[in-house]
Amino acid sequence: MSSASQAPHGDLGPVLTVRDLEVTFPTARGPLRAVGGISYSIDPGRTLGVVGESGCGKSVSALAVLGLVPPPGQVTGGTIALGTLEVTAMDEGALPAIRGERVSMIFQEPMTALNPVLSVGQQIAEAWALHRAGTAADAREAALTMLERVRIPNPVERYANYPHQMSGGMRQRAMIAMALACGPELLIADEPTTALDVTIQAQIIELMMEMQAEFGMAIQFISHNLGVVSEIADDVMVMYAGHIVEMASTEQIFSNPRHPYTKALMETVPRLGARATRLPTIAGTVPDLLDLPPGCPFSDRCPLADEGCRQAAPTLDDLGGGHLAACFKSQEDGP
Amino acid sequence: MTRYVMGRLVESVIVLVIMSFVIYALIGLMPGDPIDLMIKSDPRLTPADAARLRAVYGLDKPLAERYLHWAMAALSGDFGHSRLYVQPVLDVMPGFLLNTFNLMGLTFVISIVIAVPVGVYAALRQHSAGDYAINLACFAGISVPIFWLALMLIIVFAVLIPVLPASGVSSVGGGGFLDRARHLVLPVVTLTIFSIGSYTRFMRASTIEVMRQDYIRTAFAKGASRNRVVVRHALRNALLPVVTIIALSFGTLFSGALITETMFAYPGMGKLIYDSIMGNDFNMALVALLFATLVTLLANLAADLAYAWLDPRISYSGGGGTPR
Repeated sequence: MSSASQAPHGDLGPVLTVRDLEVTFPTARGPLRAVGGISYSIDPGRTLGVVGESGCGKSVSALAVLGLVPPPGQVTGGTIALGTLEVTAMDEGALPAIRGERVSMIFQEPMTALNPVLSVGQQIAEAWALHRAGTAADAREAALTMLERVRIPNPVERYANYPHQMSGGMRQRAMIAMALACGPELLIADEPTTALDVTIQAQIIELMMEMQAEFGMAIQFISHNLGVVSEIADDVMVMYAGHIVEMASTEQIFSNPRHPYTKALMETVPRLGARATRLPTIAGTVPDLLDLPPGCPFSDRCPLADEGCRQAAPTLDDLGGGHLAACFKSQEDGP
Repeated sequence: MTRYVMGRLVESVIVLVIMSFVIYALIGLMPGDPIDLMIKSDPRLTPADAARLRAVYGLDKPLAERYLHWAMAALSGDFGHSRLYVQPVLDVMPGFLLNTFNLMGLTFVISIVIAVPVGVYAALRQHSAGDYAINLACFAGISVPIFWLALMLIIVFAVLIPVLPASGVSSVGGGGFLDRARHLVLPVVTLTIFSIGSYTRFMRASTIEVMRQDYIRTAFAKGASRNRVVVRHALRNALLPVVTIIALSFGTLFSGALITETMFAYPGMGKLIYDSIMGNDFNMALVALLFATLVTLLANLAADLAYAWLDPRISYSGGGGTPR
């Protein structure tokens, strides 16, 4: 723990500090390290974008923050701290008290993430009532206020609606209302716009930014969509095969990507006006996490890789100005 | 909603009318009729006598005509006499029906009250020793032959350790509440062991399925404790498929449990239907089978209504179910 985390939460220290986090799933072929020792932190009110392909460990590391790694997976190393509170040292039974209260999470599929047999209002009211003392009427009042704050028209009528009676965008708004009902310091959004229409995506991103301005929470925004991340994130962290390969401010990453994987990811984004007949793809496939190359995990797909890259794994080093990358080649280049 | 229920009831009546003809025809197609029985028991009857008797009872007429005759009488409330019990069939049935209701109703309630929590317990501790023990017990209950189970219970609890009566609904000359309750114990235990396994297995499978859903993760993420997640978020969803199975099995309740009723000499609907078919008691068999049909139809309707009550996505009044 850094000394900064001595400050009470909400003060100057980071909202979230992750140190050497390792998450492992036991499999028939041996332990699978879904997250292979990552460290990062998020300061109050900031937004960290987490980018990577499916299976790179971005969702699992986020679930670990809430102590919700799906069994049989478990955190096998490192620490996670919310402010000064070390989540990884907490008792299983004490975790519900911080979930929804200090850290909330919203998910990709707003349809399946809401309980189909409870009204949307009831579900938001529950999120409030789980952490706040008050009558059922107070909880209802709080839920109605939240519905209004996430710009859902006719809150009273919508309160009684069931998830299937709402559109996808509306449901995601309701999810956000539920997540923010207790004003957490950190909101983790796991691909919150991926399942939505493009126009609705923009509305949800805008809403999240407005909510951040109102509630002041930090956001960990997970997406495989670089365009979306560039709109909302202050900093970006690129993950590959359970490791962080590059981390920098959004501006640095987009203007000057240093890791070959980040560069390749950016080239796969279609651009308006570019008349490419075929979109570029990244050659090869995501490596088998049970059978990683001995050196750099990206070495077998990397156009720049040489013998050195295949022998030893690069560490995540500062290339200057807080721009971190784990690549021998970009470290050689210098800042 | 009322319109839906009314519609379903009209449908049920139509099904009932069709079934009455089918059952009537099937019974009519059975080899032998009451006259054959009379001939067997009285060797002096000649074929001419038999033909005359058939004419008297209308048994020489074509099936359709006989059915219409029966249907007209039934509509005016006359379902005929029971040959075996020498009473109007509608007077015979209530006693048997009450016995079956006691036996099956009790079995039904006990099975569900045990199966739902046990199924949920096993689901939440999937692959634990407790789960394996419950599964083993369920399969044992499902696979054990019911007549053997009944015999074993009689041998153990009525013969070796004579604590419970082995047969009937009450002792001779007895008939107090406690006495009748004691007579119910062994048949109810037999049927409960037999039916509880499948309910538990369904509840377990359904709960496992629901606990994997995204909204369960959401409930955990907002800070609900494990118990709260199970009771408030999982249980109602997990009950949905089980309700259908339970409601459908409810329909079989009133047709009785033939083997169990026979083993315990318990005068219920199963035994009534069996005896009346074997004894060529057409009128009795017809009405008893029709009643079983009616209860099955109503149980189906009840299942659909229970579904709508549990699941807001299902609406029979129209409108409410469509996204706006």
